Amino acid sequence: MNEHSAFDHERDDRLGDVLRAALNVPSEDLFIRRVLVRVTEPLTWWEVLGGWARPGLAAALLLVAAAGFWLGRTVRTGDPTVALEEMLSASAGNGTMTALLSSARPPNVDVLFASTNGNE
Amino acid sequence: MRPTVRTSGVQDAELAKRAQRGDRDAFGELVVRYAGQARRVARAILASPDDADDAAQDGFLAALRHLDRYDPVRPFGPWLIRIVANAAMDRRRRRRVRQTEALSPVTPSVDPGPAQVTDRRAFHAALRAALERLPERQRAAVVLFDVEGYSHREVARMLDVPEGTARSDVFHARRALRKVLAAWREW
Repeated sequence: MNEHSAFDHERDDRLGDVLRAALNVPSEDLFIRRVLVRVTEPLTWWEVLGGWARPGLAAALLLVAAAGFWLGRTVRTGDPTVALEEMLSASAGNGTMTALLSSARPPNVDVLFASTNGNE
Repeated sequence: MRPTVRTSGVQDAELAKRAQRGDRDAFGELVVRYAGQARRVARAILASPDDADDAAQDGFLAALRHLDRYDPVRPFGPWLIRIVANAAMDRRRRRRVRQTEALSPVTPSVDPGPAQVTDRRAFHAALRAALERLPERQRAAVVLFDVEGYSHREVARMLDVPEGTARSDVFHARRALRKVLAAWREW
């Protein structure tokens, strides 16, 4: 038994040396070669994906935030069908569009074109 | 495959900077320098030499992937060994390690007789078994402090505990190891 106090601030060389000998693993060259092969080989697909994980997550968060903002704005502006009706009535001042939408018969292409182009 | 001689006299921090710029040879030199230390620390945590080598390799590769997080102003060794220790602890937690107390071959500088080799193997096996009975953090702490020569402060940083806890871990580990080894005539 040696005389070192267990609370010594200094390294216990004797304990350190026997522990080192007990923990040393042979064939260090083989291990180094094995790691160096991995270090120099190209990245695997999951390592590449791993590298993209953080920017990907940031992009996804940005998209979610943008979608939330857009949705919030849409809800605040009210029912979108009202806007469509307004648009239709504005573009069909002569009543063609109203007749077109209320008719049971299929529309005539020329009439449809004329109404969407402001009947110019 | 080994790095060239031109890197052998360069400081760790310089090698790490080169490695950060993509110089794989520089990182290879760091692997050569720290392989022994990384394997010992991993083995102290994992016991099985094969698992320890896998964990040490995982640690090196993780360090390579995260080199951008290394601050070259700080010493490279503790940064790397912390990653290796974490890799070993993760591996240990992920699966229950089989207690394969395989006796590692000893490579002494002089050629001892068979009885002496047997004694030394048994001594080392007993030491590893005593180490294995310690809590994981105490094991790592005593090896980092007494084997690898890191300070209490560095050990604390590597194990992510307060310095007082690191001191206490070293204290308890030493006490337990000395008690077990007191019976051995080599001690």
